[in-house]
Amino acid sequence: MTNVAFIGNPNCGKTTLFNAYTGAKLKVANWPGVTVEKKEGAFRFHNGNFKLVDLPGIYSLTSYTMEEIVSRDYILSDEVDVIVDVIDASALERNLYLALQLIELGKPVVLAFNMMDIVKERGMEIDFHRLPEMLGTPVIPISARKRSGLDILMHTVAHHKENDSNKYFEHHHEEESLHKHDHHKEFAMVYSDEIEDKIDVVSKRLSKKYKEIQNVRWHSIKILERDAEILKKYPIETEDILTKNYETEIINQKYDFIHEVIHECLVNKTEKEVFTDKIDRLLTNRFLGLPIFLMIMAVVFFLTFRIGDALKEVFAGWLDIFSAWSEAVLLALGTGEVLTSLIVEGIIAGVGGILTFLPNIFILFLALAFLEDSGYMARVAYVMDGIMEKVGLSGKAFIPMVLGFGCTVPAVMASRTLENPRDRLKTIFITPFMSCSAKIPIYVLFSGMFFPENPALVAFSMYVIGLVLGIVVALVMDKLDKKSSDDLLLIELPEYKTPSLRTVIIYVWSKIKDYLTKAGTTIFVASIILWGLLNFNVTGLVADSSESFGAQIGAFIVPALKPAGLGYWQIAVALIAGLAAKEVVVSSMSVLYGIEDISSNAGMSEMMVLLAAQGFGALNAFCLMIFSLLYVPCVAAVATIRKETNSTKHTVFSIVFQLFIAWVMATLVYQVGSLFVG
Amino acid sequence: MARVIIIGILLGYCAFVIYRKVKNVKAGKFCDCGCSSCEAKCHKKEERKQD
Amino acid sequence: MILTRGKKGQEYRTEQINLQENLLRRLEVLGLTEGTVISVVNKNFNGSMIIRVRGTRFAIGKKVAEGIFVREVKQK
Repeated sequence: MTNVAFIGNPNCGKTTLFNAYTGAKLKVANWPGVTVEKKEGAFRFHNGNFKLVDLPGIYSLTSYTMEEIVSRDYILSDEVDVIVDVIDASALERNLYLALQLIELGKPVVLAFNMMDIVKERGMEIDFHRLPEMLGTPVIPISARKRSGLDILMHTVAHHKENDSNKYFEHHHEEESLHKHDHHKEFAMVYSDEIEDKIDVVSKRLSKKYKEIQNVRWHSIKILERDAEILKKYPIETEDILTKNYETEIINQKYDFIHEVIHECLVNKTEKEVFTDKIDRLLTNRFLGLPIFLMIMAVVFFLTFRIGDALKEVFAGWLDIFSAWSEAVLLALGTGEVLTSLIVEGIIAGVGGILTFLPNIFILFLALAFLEDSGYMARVAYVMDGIMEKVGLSGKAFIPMVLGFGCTVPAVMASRTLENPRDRLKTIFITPFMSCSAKIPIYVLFSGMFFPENPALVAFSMYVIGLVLGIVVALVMDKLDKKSSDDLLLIELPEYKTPSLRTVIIYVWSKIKDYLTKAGTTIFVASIILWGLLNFNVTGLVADSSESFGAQIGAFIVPALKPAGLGYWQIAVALIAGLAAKEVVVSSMSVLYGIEDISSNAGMSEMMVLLAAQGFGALNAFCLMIFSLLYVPCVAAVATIRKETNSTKHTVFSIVFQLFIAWVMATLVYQVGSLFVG
Repeated sequence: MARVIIIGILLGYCAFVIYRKVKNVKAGKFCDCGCSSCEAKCHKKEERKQD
Repeated sequence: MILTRGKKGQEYRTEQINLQENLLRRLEVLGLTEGTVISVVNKNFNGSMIIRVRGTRFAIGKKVAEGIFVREVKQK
């Protein structure tokens, strides 16, 4: 068994590589005592067993963050035989910094130069003969995305486990070292004579006092850097020799050496950097950046509604055929009217109605995948920093908000990237206002029915209302809070790249799968329960659903919804059911009004007639959309908020607050709107 | 007969869905766990193979 | 001068960084230490900017940029 630890900078393609080896066979576990997760996977290669561990993405091996400490302790432990440092070869300078630190640890290290396809695309060349000479470790070019070089990498790992002894270094440093031992033959990274002298003295004292230390040089360097963890673990007398903190000098010298390595091993360095700069000149332009972002989002949503709508009609047609066929088959089987009603009007109408919105969901996530994989998302943080700063947040807080257009659950979790707890909490409170993909069916249905001239525009207005309201709420919270944020913007901007087809497909497929799963489980069961509530009361089966359990429950909250123009028991039931998942608002409308093909044009007009007969008009529909946009997110999102804030108080506040805002906004629109509509 | 079978299947499936949901929530997983890019990282667990 | 006054397209060498400890550490591991050359790629109205340090681009907020003291590097 060979234990292999995968480590690398954030965004270096480490997880893609890890998944390429282990496939779906992985195990996720928390590190004992902390919330940082590690992933493990086992696989066989050429008669050898390998256990791979995927460590969190880090920039360095200091001990300033939890991720760094966890990774470092794990690598230093006996559990690791070989370290694979995954390096983004297209951003070599920064990635080599972690590599140098790892090499210094004295454990077997293999450098996997990932993203070689991008390197080639940019016309850069890397000297793979010279690199191992300078660094003393095997360097393997791979591409995790294209799955090339994977076997060679594992082969090297298997061999490198045993013989890491015959390293040899060949440097051409300009100045001759006057140091008494020439470390240049022993180590890749050699510091200035002053620092090397100090390392020697500290090493001597360390190995005398603590015989168990295996890599004395690394520990000595850490002591020179005043690393809190190491100083606590191995306290030694240093006052006489360490007159200052050498940390900055050590970092600078490492980067000097990296410069040397790059100078010798990298050819045609600057070509494509110009390309990213050119795009950035436009996309992050101080005047155009914000309008371009808004335009991109507008295009995304219009595509979602326009193309989605066209495809939806096809799906609705299939649903019609399937529904009619099922009814015929069931009646032929002699299942009886009640059971047929449950299956056709309850399940098929409910679940099927939601499935017809699949094209909309598909296009939205396709667009979001493109934005994420191209490298634009990080720019959004910069573009929005100006606005976010005014409401007391950093531009970084805007990334969870954009993700919220997809799904609130991962968006709330993404707020983890904000270090300041107050900012995190604020972001978690406003993220549910971002209109998630589950609300699309509601918009499509109601704007299609009541605003046939401009359905996409009305739907888009929901996104704008949600976004603006989120920002206003943040502003109010900031004013009440007084304390200004100190979570400062500092985010890496990756180079632009053509989104990888594979990554986009995996991303979109996982969302589609999620949607289908939701339709098959949550919505399926919710439709059955709803059907039951609408067809029964204490006396048993009812002929008219207005006497059912559902109607009684709905009637209970109708008075509260009346000022918002939503005072209908059916709407009340739909909104309550929508807490399970927002799509259920739509699926329950179809069950409530007994319409089997709610998303088809015929079904929509049928529904509209029924609603109009109750006095439910365009204004009511608009208020319903606003209320659905703003009220309590689905159960999954609430549970995530509970988990992430780790506070019942904040969760309850969030629920009450959202309900309150939704009610106030819908009521405001309805009351003001009524004045004009009459 | 068909009626009994269909009702049986529906009840069985609903029970399964609800059972799984309750189990997931108890295990701290709140969504349907289908998103590979999701931060919840609640991928299906596999027992670690013994060495 | 402070970095916020830097011009787009110009290179600067850091002389001093006055920021809170944890931010300073984060910058250091990203390669931004005293003596590093920073080139200003883009500037925003509110003072946030895009800089390039050792081959990598970063977006930094105004408060970060205000803590970095630099001197202009004469271009050849």
